Amino acid sequence: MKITFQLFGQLKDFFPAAQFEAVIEKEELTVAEIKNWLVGNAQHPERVRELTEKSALATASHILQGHETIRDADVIFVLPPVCGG
Amino acid sequence: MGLIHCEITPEVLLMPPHLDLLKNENQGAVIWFIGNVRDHNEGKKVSSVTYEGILSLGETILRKICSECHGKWGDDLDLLVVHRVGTLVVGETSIIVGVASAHRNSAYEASRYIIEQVKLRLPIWKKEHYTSGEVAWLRGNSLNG
Repeated sequence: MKITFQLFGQLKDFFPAAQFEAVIEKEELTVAEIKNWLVGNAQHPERVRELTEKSALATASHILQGHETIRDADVIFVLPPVCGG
Repeated sequence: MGLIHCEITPEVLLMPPHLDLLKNENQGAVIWFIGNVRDHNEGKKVSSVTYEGILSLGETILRKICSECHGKWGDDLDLLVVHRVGTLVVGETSIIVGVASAHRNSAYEASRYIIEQVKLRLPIWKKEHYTSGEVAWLRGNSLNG
């Protein structure tokens, strides 16, 4: 499946671009599998692991829960811990 | 049903246009919370803050927070939340929360609820720029539940 990742906040410091496309050879991915893929493809996997584990994944309309799987998604937002206000 | 006005915007936040949105003869109490960029944080002198956010998802979450206020304090509350994104210098306004209610207690409580939930749940990230030239992303709250 093809996924476009959109990264936010500090996560952007660990990847070559804030938005990039990835082709992953699976028909379905869990939230945990997507996070593992991101860690494995980061510039400094050991430094980004904790931040990625604390991050949430979301579509344009909702934040994905841990039990949800992704089959087809145009864009997956990767949301590190937030601090609005 | 009361008004719900939620917005995430790169535009400068000014009070007068927002004040008018909560004018309602049914409401006897109006509380405004205004968040501004502070000139210091954790011992460092701040020159500006860059706010990054997701507009569509962010506005959906803001509307959900406001709906929760209607559930808790009555659906006649008029509610406004506007959060700015982009780079703001010290003194500029990053967020305006307005609550208009028939009575003051619910207005105070709903106002506090909204700003605390914004800090916990709104997909916004802050990068502080210091007078020393350093920059740092601020730690936040995980949305993992």
